This record gives sequence, structure tokens and C-alpha cells, in this order.
Amino acid sequence: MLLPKMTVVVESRLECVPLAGTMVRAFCHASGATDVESEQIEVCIMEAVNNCVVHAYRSEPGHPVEVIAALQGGEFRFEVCDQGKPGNPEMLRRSRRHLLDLDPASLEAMPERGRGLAIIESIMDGIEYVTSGGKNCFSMTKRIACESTKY
Amino acid sequence: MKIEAKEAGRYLVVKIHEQRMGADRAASFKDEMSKLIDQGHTAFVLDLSEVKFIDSTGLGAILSILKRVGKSGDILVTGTSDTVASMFKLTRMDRVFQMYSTVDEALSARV
Repeated sequence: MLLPKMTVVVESRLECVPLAGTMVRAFCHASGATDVESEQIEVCIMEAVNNCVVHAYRSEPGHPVEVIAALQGGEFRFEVCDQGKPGNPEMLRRSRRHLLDLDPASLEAMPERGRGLAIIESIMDGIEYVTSGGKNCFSMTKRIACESTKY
Repeated sequence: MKIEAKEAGRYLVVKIHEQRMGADRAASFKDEMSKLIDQGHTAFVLDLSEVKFIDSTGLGAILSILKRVGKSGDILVTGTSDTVASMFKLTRMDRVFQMYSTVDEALSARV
């Protein structure tokens, strides 16, 4: 039995990031996710791909970022993989949600960057980072409230 | 980054003519806004009515402009779609920026 799955590979350029997000959003929507769920997933995919481009590949173009999206049993699973510099798994194990606790009175102390992982944590049900054999994969899972869970 | 700037009293209304404010547009946005700040503008109404998508880098760029204009300046955010507004809310940026439905509403609130 074939399960819904898509793979897209984009080049490590920021202008290519929206393509990955748009395609995954369309896949999710076609697979039964609501508009809101699909848009939230798009944000997470783009944040993860941005991280690959900026951190793994240090903004150097010409490298592949692979995005895999699959649906099984009412749960989406996404993998965003690169072959660049590995991230720090320990850093990724620590929750970043505290970065979303803003004190409006402390404008100068507010970080302008680094919220991507916190956003992903807030939207996704599970995240995992594995690096092996020169390939680094950031995985995310999201259960959706679709009526049909035939896959 | 396509923007359109129009003066309205002490405020400069800056309309972003882009559908997406992601990492690929953030640097360009900061450059355009920096030019306006260098011209002496410190109070802005940011019209995001055409923006359908924003990510953390886009939000960070807007925050950087708020930090640049400082306490003597002002940035009002208007016209956010449900998707963009939800990103402001998710990142608690709705606690940092004054947000209004329309440019007119923002300007009226500041009279």
C-alpha cells in the first residue's frame, strides 16, 4: 500500500526556501490538513530549511536541502536534511520556548534572531535531530485533526 | 523589497508590496527602512496588508527597526492577515507592537 509521501530538494539559497514551504503546504492540504494546519506546517518547514541554509551551509549556495513529507495514521512526519556542518544535538534537545517570553519593557534585550526552533516547538508535536554519515536530519511530527485517517 | 512610503502627520506610512516576508526578504527590508531612518523618520505605520506570510527572520527584521528607532520612535503595525497575526501572537510580538486593523485606525488612535 502506497502512503502519501513527497520529496523536494532545493538549493541552499534563501530565495529557494519558499518553494519548499509552498510545496509542503500544498501536500499537507491535499492530504487533509486544514488551512491553518497547512500554513503552520509551512512556517516550520521554512524555519528548518532556513537553518540548513544559514547554519549548516553557512549561506553558501550550491548545496542540497532535502525535505521529505509523509502522512501515516493521521500524523505527518517531516524530515529536513542537509549534508553540511552538523548542528549541536544538545542545543536542540533543550527547549527554546523561553525565547518567546518577551518583556515589552526590555526592548534592547530582545533577540532579533533564534526564534525559529521555538516556533517549531510550539507548532509541532515532536522534534528530533539526528546526524549520521555526513547527513543531518531534523525531523518533525504533527498530528492533524482530519476526519479521514485512511493512511 | 518593494515598499511605498507616504507621510501622514508625524508618521511615515510604509506599505510593504510583497506577499512574503521571509529570510530572503528580511535584509532588503532592513536596508529600505534604514534609509528612511537615516532621512530622519522615526515614527512609522507599517502596512502589512499585502503580506500573506512571515517567518521568524521577517519578524526579527521588524523588531530590529523598532530597536533602531528606540524609545523616541514608534512603529505601528497594521493590516495583518490571520496568518501573519498568528505569527505575531505565537512569538508574543503582539505584546511588543501596537497592532491595528487599518492604517486609518492606527493614525486615528495616535491623534
